[in-house]
Amino acid sequence: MIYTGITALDEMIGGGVPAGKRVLFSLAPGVDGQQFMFSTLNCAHRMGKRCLVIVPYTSAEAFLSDLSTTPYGVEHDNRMIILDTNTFEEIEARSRTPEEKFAAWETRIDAVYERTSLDAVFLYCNRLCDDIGTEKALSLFTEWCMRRGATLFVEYLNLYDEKHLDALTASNPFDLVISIGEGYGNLLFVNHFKVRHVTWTSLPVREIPYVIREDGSVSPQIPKIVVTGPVDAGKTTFIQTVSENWVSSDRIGISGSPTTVAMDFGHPLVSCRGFEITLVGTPGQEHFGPIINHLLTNATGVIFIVDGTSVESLCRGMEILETVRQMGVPFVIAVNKREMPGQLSDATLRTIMRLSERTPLSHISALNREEAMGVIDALIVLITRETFME
Amino acid sequence: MDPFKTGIRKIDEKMGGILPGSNVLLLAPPFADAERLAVHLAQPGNSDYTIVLSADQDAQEIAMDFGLPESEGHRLWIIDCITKTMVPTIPDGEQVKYVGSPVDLTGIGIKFTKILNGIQRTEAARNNLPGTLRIRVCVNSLSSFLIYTRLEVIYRFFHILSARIRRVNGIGIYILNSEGVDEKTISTLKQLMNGMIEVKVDAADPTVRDLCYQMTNGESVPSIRYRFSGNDLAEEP
Ligand SMILES: Nc1nc2c(ncn2[C@@H]2O[C@H](COP(=O)(O)OP(=O)(O)O)[C@@H](O)[C@H]2O)c(=O)[nH]1
Ligand SMILES: [Mg+2]
Repeated sequence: MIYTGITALDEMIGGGVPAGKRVLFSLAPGVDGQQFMFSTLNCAHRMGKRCLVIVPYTSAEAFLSDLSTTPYGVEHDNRMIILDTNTFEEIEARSRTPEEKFAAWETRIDAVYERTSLDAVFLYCNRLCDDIGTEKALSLFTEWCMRRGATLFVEYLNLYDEKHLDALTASNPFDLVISIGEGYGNLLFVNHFKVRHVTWTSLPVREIPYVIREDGSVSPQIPKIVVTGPVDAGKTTFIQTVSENWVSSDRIGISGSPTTVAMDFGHPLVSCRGFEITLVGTPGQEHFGPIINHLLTNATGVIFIVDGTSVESLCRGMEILETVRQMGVPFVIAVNKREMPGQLSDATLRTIMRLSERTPLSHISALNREEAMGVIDALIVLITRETFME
Repeated sequence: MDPFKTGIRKIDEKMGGILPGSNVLLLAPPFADAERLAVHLAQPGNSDYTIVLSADQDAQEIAMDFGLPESEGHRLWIIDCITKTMVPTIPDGEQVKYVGSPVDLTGIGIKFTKILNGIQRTEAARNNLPGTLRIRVCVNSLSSFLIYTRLEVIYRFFHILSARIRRVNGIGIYILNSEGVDEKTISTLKQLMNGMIEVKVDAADPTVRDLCYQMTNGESVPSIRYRFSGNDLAEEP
């Protein structure tokens, strides 16, 4: 197994990339997403793997220098073999037809393999695709890695659309295809990645936002989890309990647009499974109205809190829950005040709220951090792993 | 938004300048001072920002050609595609970003985004209203990018870049050497543009150039004769 080193992504794919698999990172133009490959290379190297890096667009020195400006720098030791623009030009000068170039590349990597057996190959493929054809270039490496049992990671600049990517994946045996694209909702400076295809587990095709931190590291985000429910259910208590940095609701500013909310919240409130999560409360807005509707816009997930001792309170919250359902946002139910007497049964709760068996529901005390974090964890799993939606 | 002044009287008088959202092909033979004309057209003045994407000259030469006073240095941003081939470890500066080579379209795209963000930050720090950015982009030159990468890929890449320029209501000036290319290349690249400036060298006096400016919407300014003295463009009467 080779980790990508991006915890949220590793968690999603079951820990990391199993040996011998073929991974494609597809980048939309202009999107700062080279860190996915950088981080994986850095992890593979730190795990003691022997890596071959093919960077036809630049020199080995320039490549390593670029890496070293991020937290993913690697040392150029004998487990790190780099074929750079010099190799490309050498092959270019000696071969005329694409077939000759194909053969020359194969001979070249075979020669590397004879000296050092390889665990992983990292290919920056665009220049090769341009030179010998996309299909040929990709099959050269997918087949070579298959024969040698090496794990393959490819970075590809996709100048076309997602259909092009799907066509590429259909004709090449990639086990994991991650498309990295521009933007997320209307948030500034946030991009997203999406697992479009994976063979060893099942995942939803859903945009996962991330930012690049000041130091150049990737930070997957859940920019907006809305905590809502009827009055006195324990929403404020829940947020206070889980928040690492408590921001009062005055600062949240209920009139703020989602953009300014995220900007004001520049810092995360909670981290969970490798995500930085921003929680948004619905201060003083227990009844359905335009403000709740507005707060729910662009929500990645919803935590719906109810007071497990009060049928009356449950009923009052149903209007909001209905809105959440209609928006198709993933949500979980936290039944609060579990240490109080008079708890409603699961069956009653599910009937009143008309929940499917698959909607996570847990009994918690919002005063207990571990229990409250469990709710967030369940929601993250739902958002990133579950392929069903209600 | 007002048109971008070109500093060429006949164009500015007749058309107000280059319309925001325009991408203009600058087609010129070698030794016709196309770079100098591009610098002239892309001058940021004291209200605009200029991004130069260069595979022909390094950042130092470009900065010199623009010759901005220090107080206006923040108006010039450069993506230098050649220095890193000689100085592999050179780090990015605030205004100048380096990519591995002209082949590195991934890097160029990312640095372009970073520069747009940087310009937005600069503007915000100066308390200017968002959405009023004026950006001039100069690509120096399409011919050089075509040496390394197939036309189809270059077309796609600049299709995306020109669309971004249009979205921010900027202008793009793309230098193309008219001699090193075939008809197909020119006609393909023209599809990305909504204007063209064609430069010719005067047959009688090789220090005199002749340009015509044509927009795809039919507007045009025919035959402007000019010469450079130093970096100054002097129109012939
Ligand atoms: N016993 C108990 N009381 C709670 C719990 N969570 C919240 N409360 C209390 O319930 C009341 C309402 O909580 P609050 O967080 O303000 O609810 P909100 O209106 O949904 O924001 C407060 O008095 C809290 O102290 C809990 O887990 N157990
Ligand atoms: Mg409250």
